[in-house]
Amino acid sequence: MNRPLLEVRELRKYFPIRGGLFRRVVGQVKAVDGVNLQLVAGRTLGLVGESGCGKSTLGRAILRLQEPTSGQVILSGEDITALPRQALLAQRRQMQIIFQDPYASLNPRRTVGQAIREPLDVHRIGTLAERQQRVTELLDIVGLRDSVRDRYPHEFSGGQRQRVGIARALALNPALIVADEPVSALDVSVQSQVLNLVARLQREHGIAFLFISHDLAVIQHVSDEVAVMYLGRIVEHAPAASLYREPQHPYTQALLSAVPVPDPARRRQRIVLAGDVPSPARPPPGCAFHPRCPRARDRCRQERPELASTAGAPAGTRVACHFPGTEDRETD
Amino acid sequence: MNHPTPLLALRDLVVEFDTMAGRVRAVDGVSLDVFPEESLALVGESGCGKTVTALSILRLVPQPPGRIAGGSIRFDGRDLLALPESGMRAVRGRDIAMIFQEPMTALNPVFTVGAQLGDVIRRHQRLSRREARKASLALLEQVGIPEPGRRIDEYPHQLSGGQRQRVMIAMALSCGPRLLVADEPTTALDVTTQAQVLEEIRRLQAEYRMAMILVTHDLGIVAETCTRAVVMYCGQVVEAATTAALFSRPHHPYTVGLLDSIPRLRETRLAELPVIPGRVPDPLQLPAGCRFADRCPRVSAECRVVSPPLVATADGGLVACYHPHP
Ligand SMILES: Nc1ncnc2c1ncn2[C@@H]1O[C@H](COP(=O)(O)OP(=O)(O)OP(=O)(O)O)[C@@H](O)[C@H]1O
Ligand code: SF4
Ligand SMILES: [Mg+2]
Repeated sequence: MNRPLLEVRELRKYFPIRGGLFRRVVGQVKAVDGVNLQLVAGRTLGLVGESGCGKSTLGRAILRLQEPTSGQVILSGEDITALPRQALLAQRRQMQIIFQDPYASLNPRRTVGQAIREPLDVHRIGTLAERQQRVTELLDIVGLRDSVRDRYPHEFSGGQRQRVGIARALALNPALIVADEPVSALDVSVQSQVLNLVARLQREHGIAFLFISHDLAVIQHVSDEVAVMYLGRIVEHAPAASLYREPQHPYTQALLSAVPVPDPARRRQRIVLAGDVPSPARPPPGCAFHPRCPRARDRCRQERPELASTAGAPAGTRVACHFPGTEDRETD
Repeated sequence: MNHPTPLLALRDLVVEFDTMAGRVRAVDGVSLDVFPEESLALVGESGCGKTVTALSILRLVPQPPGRIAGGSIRFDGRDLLALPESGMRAVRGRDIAMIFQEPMTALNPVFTVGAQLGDVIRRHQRLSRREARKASLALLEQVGIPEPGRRIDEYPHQLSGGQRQRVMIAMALSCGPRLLVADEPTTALDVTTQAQVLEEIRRLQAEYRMAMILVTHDLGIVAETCTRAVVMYCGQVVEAATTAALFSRPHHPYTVGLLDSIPRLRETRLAELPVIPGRVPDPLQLPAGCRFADRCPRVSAECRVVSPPLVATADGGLVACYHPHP
């Protein structure tokens, strides 16, 4: 077993809620509430969940783009949560981020070539000529012509801009890229182009990805492993093939069954969940999923289930549920 | 096929926008029929003109910069484009209702749900305030709002996205329309909430015996919700068919490419997703001939000369292509 490239231990990120006359802290939004994850070099971990479940905050807290409230992030054996700011900058070379919105993440006044070169400039890597050469290489890797380097972001389509964002993230040869909904803003007909690119980069360049998305079909296409998040916690983590074939957590099952299937001949059993996702400011006690769970019993309302392996589940599967399993059990 | 007369018939609809870069034809000669009680999907990628087509039906295209520049829209035999604005107002809400992607923009933040719903009801029926409140409560219950007695006195921001969309649906249904135009009604919602709301829309459509146009970019939603579908590309209809036929035997190369390339849940992961190369052309620099030609694997010289007309297929659908898949 390889030592993980990335290890996240009991990571928490709380946002204070202020109120009243003196803007005192009256509560906490527990956006990330005790997450444990490992990611092996060169592999892709898909992180899936609905809006507000904390997946973007988790991605940003891992990179310390948002300071974690507590917990550890260990990258290549070094605890980056303990690093002073200056040392963190050096570590950042190893980890990059790609954002959902390719429009917002590029400076409109800098050419595409400048945008891609910027990380090399910041870290003072090589001579100017070498940096320019690297930009040419990067453009080639993401499938853009070299001639586009002198053009500005507004002249590009969403898919092309996302390629520029990817080229920029690749500039420093990172070991890890956090990709936060990188195809959600793209047209359906270009999503698959970008997904193929991500899969190829992982294969050919050995980059590990933390790939964040709300779309289970997109996650399936790029991931070796999948973690499902609900209200700030991982509720299931498994090898991708097992998770899609034999989901163990009732929330994973509901999520999978809710995806509309583009095949009118296939009529499926759908698990329609009652109600909405509760506010992360007031997560339900016990298992946070219990108010919507078809299997909930007294124990679920009182005791929080920990992420653990479970008898009968495929190897490598861990699930946070008192009553895990593939078939819908009776709730007596 | 033996169809009844259409409830709604669009013929050669043209809608233009004046933009800083020039005049854009967002909808360029769209013809389609909607039959009573059917659910028709209007599907295509961002910017292909779905929303503008939908807005045209209610004459809600913002003017300026937009205008309906040609064609006709007949509803139940009446020419909607010839109606005075007052006549059109009567049609909206009473005959045709619309729901939008983002319910928050369509709801007024300073009035309670009950006040807004009651208002809409009283616009079309002569009811006292009390009666309107009773009718509102019944509607909220109908669209599956939990605790309607409490929700009715809440403000839109106090509701979740799914509940707001249900309120919009309640408003749309309040006057018993014969046609519901739903523009991406669940796109802003999470997948589990989307499943709930779509379930509700399907149930209500059957119960109210309405026809529906569902605008969406999601082929999964088309397959699960609609009986027929119209595929648009660059402001034009490229294919129309029953949902069953469209998915089992697509004819247009664009439809084929789209069905192949969308990420979907699979038994096993593919090494490589099939792709449609290139991208949608700039609406200001449309190519001559077929607008899909630059991305099309079946293109020939002929395709680049004259735009292919929409013609009938052997299985009762329509396709605009010189070399359709059999
Ligand atoms: N108010 C407007 N001013 C200028 N152009 C507009 C306006 N509204 C729409 N358009 C243009 O009309 C074309 C069609 O837009 P439309 O909104 O109908 O697309 P759509 O198919 O609904 O896309 P989406 O899936 O993104 O909702 C686009 O090129 C768009 O830029
Ligand atoms: S008309 Fe020609 S270019 Fe257009 S879709 Fe058909 S084969 Fe392709
Ligand atoms: Mg639209």
